[in-house]
Amino acid sequence: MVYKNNPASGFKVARAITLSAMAIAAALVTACGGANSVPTPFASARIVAFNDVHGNLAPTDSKQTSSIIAPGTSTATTVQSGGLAYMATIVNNLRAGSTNSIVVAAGDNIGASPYTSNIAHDEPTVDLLSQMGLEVSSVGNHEFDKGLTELQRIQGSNGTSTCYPASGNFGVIGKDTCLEANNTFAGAKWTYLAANVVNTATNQTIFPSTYVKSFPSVGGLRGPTIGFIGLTFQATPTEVNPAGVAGLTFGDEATAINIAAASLKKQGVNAVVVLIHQGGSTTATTYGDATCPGFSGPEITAIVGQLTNDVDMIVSGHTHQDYICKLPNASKKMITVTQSGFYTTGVTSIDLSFDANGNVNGVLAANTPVINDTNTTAYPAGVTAVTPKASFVTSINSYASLSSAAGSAVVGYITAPVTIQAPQAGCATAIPATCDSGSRNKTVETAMGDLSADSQLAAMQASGIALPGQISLIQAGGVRTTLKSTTDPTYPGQITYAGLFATNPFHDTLVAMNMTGAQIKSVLEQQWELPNKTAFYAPGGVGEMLMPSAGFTYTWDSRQPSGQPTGTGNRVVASSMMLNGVPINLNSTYRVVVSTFLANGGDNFPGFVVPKAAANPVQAGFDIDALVSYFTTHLTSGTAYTPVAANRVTKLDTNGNACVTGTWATCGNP
Amino acid sequence: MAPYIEFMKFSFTLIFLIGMVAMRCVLAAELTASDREKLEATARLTQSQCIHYMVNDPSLYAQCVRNLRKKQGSNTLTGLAVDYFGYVGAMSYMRVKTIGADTIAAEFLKNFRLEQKKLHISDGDLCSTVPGNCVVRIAQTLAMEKEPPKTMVKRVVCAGGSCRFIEQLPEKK
Repeated sequence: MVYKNNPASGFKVARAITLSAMAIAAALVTACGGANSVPTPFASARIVAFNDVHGNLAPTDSKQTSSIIAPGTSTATTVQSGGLAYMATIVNNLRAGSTNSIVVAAGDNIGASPYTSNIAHDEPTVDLLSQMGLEVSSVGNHEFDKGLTELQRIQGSNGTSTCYPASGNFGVIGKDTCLEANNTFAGAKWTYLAANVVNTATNQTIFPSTYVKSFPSVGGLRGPTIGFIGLTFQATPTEVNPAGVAGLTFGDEATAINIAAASLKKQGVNAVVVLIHQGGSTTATTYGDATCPGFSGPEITAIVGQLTNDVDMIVSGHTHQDYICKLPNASKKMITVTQSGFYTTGVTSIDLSFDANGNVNGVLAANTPVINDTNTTAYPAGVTAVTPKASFVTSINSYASLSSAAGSAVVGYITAPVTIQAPQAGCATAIPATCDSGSRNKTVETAMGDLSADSQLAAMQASGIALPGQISLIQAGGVRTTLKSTTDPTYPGQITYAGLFATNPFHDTLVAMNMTGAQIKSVLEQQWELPNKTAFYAPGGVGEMLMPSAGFTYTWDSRQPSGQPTGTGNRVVASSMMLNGVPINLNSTYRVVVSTFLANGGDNFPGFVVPKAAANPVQAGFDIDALVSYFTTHLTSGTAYTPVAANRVTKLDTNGNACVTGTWATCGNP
Repeated sequence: MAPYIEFMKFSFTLIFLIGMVAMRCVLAAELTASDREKLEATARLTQSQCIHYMVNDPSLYAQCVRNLRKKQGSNTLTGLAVDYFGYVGAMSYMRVKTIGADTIAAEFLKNFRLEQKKLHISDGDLCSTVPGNCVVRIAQTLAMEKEPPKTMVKRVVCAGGSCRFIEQLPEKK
């Protein structure tokens, strides 16, 4: 106020203040070590993330679409999405948008893969994700599908053989896989992390817990250092083949993260990012909705809720959704948690920014759908399809060709077609559905069904597991085609891996579990109870057949009503159920082998869903491998397999007499 | 005479329109706080019990929702909440191209529409009981009603604890 009306005086005062301030600043600079200590700003860093690729090289079903929302509008549009070659383009584009970028994944890169990757033991996927620049990934549960040794081979860390251990049974590509030059396989170029997976023999984690990425300083900006922690969910052993995780322990996720994060902080990293194969879901109905509506995920929420402030953000997976959410950590600080979708439908970009001290002061994440549909005429503004990366297209085509070659490998011989039985004369028209294929009748016992059941029981018995099984059951829907020789109609003739795969194309895991005699009867009744009866419309109200392995026989009575509510049917003659000629005791426990599909109650057979404690389920191997193995004793025309008569199940006609095998579709029907 | 007829036409049209609006108001009554709470709570219950099945086996998700709906018995309000979440949950997986999610969504869409109609609850009120973008979701709902998905022609394939769908023959349910 003194100099309000005296500008000259005011100017002097202001100048004095300015000079004083400059002097103080200079003194501070000197005291703090001179001008060189002025902190250089940090550059931002971009993390490009995805999860749950599951060996999907090509886009999944073209009949299915993703829903996306046009930026800035409320319009939902459905588009075709996915495909590794398209995803590679998106990844490239996202990386091009940042000086400092890294590609990461949150597990299940391999495992439960489609045929092309699967038959080559996922080497095509490993190759292409390596080409994509994937640098670090957590393990997921499916990384353990084929055991630690195979996972170490995939990682390229088992030292000796880099090829898939010789099975001697089927489809050799190159030299038992090993698709690279000179029949070698170097393994993944990315680093697998497994902070909570410990080998009990060594008491060490099977892979490193952490990975540190240091970006260089460029253009006057300091390059940040990011520490990654990778792990899978603790309950992984409950979701994989027990043989695959034998000798391993899966520890508490939050404990493992906090220990690793503290260690990384001590090392001086600027950011700690967790890659975890565990996640949640939201109620968003379009891809890329960053508002995180209705988030649900008790496991991941609990994990984040125990984390310290050392952790800056989380890339999640496993639940096959896309989201950008924030969950509270132990200090109630909101932590960004992302997921990109699955099967290559999307990619997450996460931009980390840093304050002058190098601490994270911003996490900006977004999901980009991998749109492959160049035919859609009207895209919303701001949405575009991408062209596939040419080198990936070439590689994927090459792998498809190789897998086709593997499929043509001869795996055995048969003396005659192993049929799934053509529709019978009782079908008056092509409708109902069971009569329309011209190649299959799911309401009758078939030779191919019996063979499949036999192979599954034999495989479990040869697996070395305790209590491998006494009876195997397979549903008619699980047996897809008649097995024919490549020389059909000339027999004996050779059969190929592809031919066997066509009959059992589901690659289901097999499981042996306890069932009482009463439970077995109950599940057999479900063949004709609702909803199987109505699901198949068959003449006489017959439902979907369960076909047994050799030694197990039973009779069903067509005079008893079908279409009963679950649990009330009475078509199976209890006293007729025999195992190797000995009556089944309804109160005794038997070891039953089925696919995990059936064990989950698939195809309207909820009777297979037996409480875990009572069932004591043990998984071992896959259905296709069981079939292939079954033919190891039929590898020459001289030892060709002869189809068995489908006579393990007996049907009683309206007079209570046994129907002649092969006349079921008409015999005993009203 | 002609102006009189025109006037009468206009009047009847006006009365008709007012009637329609009034009818709409009656049909789509305001949700009470108590009913809204029940809808939201039951939807959350459905989510917590069933949504985790979608990852491994969408058909198990559908069965879980059906079972939960059955438990509601004749309670149309909570039944509506179960069926509506069944629809939204399936849509939330349809967004990432989960095979079979569309047909499951269509099943529960059909179910919740019947109950919604009985209870005279508006689309907006119902939508707001499950978090999300209602403008988009309601538009998606109308679009699905206009063009329902084709019957599922895939089956679930499980391997090592994870499931997906594989092309199936036409006769497969």
